[in-house]
Amino acid sequence: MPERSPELDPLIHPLPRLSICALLAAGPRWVDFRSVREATGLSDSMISKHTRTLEDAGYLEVRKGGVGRRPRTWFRLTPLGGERYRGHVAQLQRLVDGTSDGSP
Amino acid sequence: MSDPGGALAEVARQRGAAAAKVRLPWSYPALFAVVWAALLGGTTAARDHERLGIPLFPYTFVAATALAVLLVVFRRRSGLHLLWRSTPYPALKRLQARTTGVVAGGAVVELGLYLLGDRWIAASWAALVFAALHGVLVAAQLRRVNREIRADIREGRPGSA
Repeated sequence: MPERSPELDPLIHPLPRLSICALLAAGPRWVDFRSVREATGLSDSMISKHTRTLEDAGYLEVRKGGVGRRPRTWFRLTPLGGERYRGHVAQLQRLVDGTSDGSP
Repeated sequence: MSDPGGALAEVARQRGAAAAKVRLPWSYPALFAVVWAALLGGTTAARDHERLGIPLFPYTFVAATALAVLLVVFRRRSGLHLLWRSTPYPALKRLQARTTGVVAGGAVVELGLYLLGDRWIAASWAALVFAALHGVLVAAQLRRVNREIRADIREGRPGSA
């Protein structure tokens, strides 16, 4: 059994969280809830669940506000979250390239 | 999820989704060109409307308001904060000098024509024509910046991760 790579982040590794992180890392700093839902295809409850996990870990920041009368929620990656995400993607790339034996 | 290839494909898919979100519809640069032209040529049009035979209209005020509306509409439609608190996309830095040159250069030329228009009516006409051409030029630059931002996002370049 190969040893778990320290660079693959277990918090980011589940696909829904990787999707959210990838979108937030690619988009301008604040991305609204609806955009996350449309891009990831996740349900509202799943988004809330996974963003809460990422927020609790300090990877993600949540801002609540309103546009007109409608309440809106925006997300962005924290510097820590961005760093961990980039490290995770770099490690995934190494695994695909065959330059690392790490396996989640 | 244990397939690194699949995970990277998902990363690419989300980058593509983010890039698609900031893509400007064709109508946006077209409207931007018109609004920019009105903004730039508005002062000349307001001052010389009688000599030029064009209707009296608050061109600059309407154009400035329309520009603000365009920016807000794009922000809401895209669901993304692009213009302020934006990610420092490499494209913004790469094209900053050119964008500044296009905007500032156009403003200087327009100002010169506006001042000359006080003496020569031909300069006022030239100011209006130049404003229209500059609107097209600025809209083209906007499209170019937008295209390169999308390329940054798709490629996951530093700053856009």
